[in-house]
Order: sequence, then C-alpha cells, then structure tokens
Amino acid sequence: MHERHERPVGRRAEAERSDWTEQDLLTVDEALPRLLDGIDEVTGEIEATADPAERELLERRLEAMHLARTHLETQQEARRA
Amino acid sequence: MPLQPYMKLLSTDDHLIEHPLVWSDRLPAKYREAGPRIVEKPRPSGGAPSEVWAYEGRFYPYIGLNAVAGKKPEEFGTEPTRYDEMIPGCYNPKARLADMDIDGVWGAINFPSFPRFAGTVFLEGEDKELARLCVQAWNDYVLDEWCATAPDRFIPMVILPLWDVDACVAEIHRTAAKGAKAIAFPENPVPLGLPSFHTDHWDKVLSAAEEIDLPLCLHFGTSGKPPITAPEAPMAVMITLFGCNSMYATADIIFSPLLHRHPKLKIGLSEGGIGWIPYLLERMDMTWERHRFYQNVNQDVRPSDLFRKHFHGCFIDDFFGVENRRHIGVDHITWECDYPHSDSYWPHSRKRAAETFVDVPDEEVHRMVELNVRRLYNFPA
Repeated sequence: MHERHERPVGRRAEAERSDWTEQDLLTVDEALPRLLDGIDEVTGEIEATADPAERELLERRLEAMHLARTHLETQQEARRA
Repeated sequence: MPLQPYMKLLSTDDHLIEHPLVWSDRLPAKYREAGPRIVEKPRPSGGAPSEVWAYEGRFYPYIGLNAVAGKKPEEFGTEPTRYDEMIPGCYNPKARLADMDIDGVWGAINFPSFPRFAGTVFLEGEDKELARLCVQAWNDYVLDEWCATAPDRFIPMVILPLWDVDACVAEIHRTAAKGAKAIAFPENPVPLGLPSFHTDHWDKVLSAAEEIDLPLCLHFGTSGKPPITAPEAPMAVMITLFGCNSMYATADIIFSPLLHRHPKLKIGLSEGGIGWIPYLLERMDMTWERHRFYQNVNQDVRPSDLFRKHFHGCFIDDFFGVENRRHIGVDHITWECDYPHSDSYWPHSRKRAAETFVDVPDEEVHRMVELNVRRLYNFPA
C-alpha cells in the first residue's frame, strides 16, 4: 500500500488566490518597462525605414508612446512621494 | 505581411475596471450606502491602504495584482490594490483609447471586473431590487459612459439580473434600445445555483437575445467553477486548463435542446483559445453517431454542424489553432487582446498578431481580426 502524502511537495511557495477570476492586471510598474522596450523598438524601426508614409505612422506612434510614458512616470512618482 | 495596415484589430475579449463612482453615481439615494462603493482597508504589510469594494456590508478585494514576475515568493499574494497602482487605461476610457492606439488595436468588447465577467456577483445580493438596479447601473455605465466615449471603437456588452428571467428579458430590451451589441452570460449556470441549459428555464431570455440578435459571450470561469484538480496543485494546472471550461460549455450546450429551440442564437467563447475545437468537434460527432440512439439528444443535426451554425471562439496566442483554422471554420474565429490583463501583449499586440498570422492568406486574416467581429456583433465599420 502506498503511503499517502499529506503535504504538497515543492520548493517554491505558491501564490494564494482565492478567486481565479481575479486576473492579473498590468500595473504601472509592469507597464513602464514594456513601454520603454516599445519606444526603443519603434525608434529603431524609424531609423531603419526609408518609406516616408511608414515613417510618419511610426513617428506618430512614438509620440503617443512618449506621452503615455510621461503619464505613467508621473503616476509612479506621485505614488512613491 | 498578411496583417495589412488597413485591417482593424477588434478584440472580442478585453476588460474594464469600474471606477469608484459607477454605482454611487447611478443608484437611488437610499441604496448608495449598501450599493457597491470603494472603501479603504489597511494592508497587513503596511503602506497605503488597499481600496476594496463594499457591497451590502460584504467586502470584495479589488483584483489580485499577482505581478509574480520578478517577485520573491514571499511577495506573492492577492493583495488588494489601489487605483493609483493600475494603468489609467484600466478605468478611464480616454486613456484606454490612447493605449489601444499605441497597441495598434482599433476596437474591443470589454467584460466587467467587480461584477465578475458575467455579472454573477449580483446573484449574491440579499436585496434583489438593489441587485437589479446595480445591474442596470453597470449597463448604463457601459453604454452611456464607457462606450459613448468612442461608439465606433467600443462594442457594448451588457450583464443581466440572472436570478429573474423576466427581469433579464426586460433588461435585454432596455439595453438593446440603447445600443447593446452582446450579452455576458455564464458558461454554465449550474455551479451558480441556477437551472441548467438542459431545462426550459432560460427560454424567454434566449428568445429575446435571438430575436434582437445579441450574441451571448461565455467567458471562461463565469460558472464560478475553475478547473482545479487538487488543493495542492500549483496554479499552473488551473491556468493550463482554463480553456477546458470552454470545451465543457460547448459540449454542454451542443447536446442540450437549447440551440434547437433557438436556431438563430449566436454564442461567443471568450478567452478559451481555439486549438481544441477540431478535436472536440470530432469527438462530439463520434459520440453522436454512436450513442445518440439511446439518449435524449437531437437525432438529426450533427454537433459539428450546430457548432458552425452558432459558435465562434477567440484566441490571444494559439498557433496550433490558427494552423488548423479550416477545421474550425475561418468565419468562427476572432482575435482577442485581453488588455489590461498582464496576459496581453500591450503595447505589442499588433506585432504579436502579425507574427501569429505570418503564414495565413491576407483575406483570412482580415476575416479573423475584423470582419467576423463586425458580422457577429452587428458592428459595421
């Protein structure tokens, strides 16, 4: 007969989540690094493109990303203050 | 690149976070204290207090900010949180539009958060008149405030007072007149203590949805029964098996009388992925061919035919499903973003979608990302 294990076997603590529908939201702290990566990427794409129309689209996106970055950084600083 | 610039990405599964005044702005004065409102609670770990919903004296932690990545195990947990920790696009429709622009996403259907994805929190209401008014308030908020910010980009979906069939019908008619395009409905009512799809209990509700042509959106988990295999099992098991809830819902509905009594009803399976669909269709057809004779199931229509007449699914990441799209039916597939959950690829959703569709003909991509949604949800360009 097999011995019954009463305790879970593992090395890492599990997160406690009482309700799985409580989905993981993007926080400001998580969103900012994603945005910074995106800004780097779009900046690189602008440098690499020769098509003026494509370039204009990318520049507009980059401008929106910088605006979002400013908002998130302001929010982050206000929270930390 | 198959995902062409002229194709507008429409997500069939995004989420909004209700701002603190959604209910207090709309409920009659006598209900404002008991209705949902944000209160502060001290955090066990100290720091700024948590903001949680209070509803009829019960407290509901806002949302689990389980930002596990990069955290030490002792920092894990479902600590309730504050609005100032969220990105504004969670609760501010103008900020949401800006985030969608950055993400290359044109439009979206948004599920509720505090009410849960099909409004089932109001089943817990002791005062059912208050609960009914809370449902109405959420719907008015979505229609008059959130979606009104950009009616050509937000696809309005509403919730129902699920404990009262006649009230559901009245709310469907009321909200349809205000522009509702879809209904969030439980994937299975039984675990919620409600009658099943195998009864005639829901007929009046489904007839109303069918007549007005409002699809039911069944988000996985709305039965309140997550796929947990053991109390000790890691969350990875549950997260992996989420899509199985959509499989359960599909088989349950297909083998019920529901679609035979409501031949025009449309059903969207939200966040369940699509890769499993070819297997389930094959399995259901095989079961039907061999076992229908001795069971109370429809004897004339094959399950896969019913699926293709009524259902559509959606995916964030499902290379296998996209590769097998013709076994599903390209017209039954939609794309989803899942913003603002961290499962989303924001701000890279469009790029990610382009990678997913890299080997798909342009015309099929256009159907999956935009045209199917416009047709299914009566949301013309």
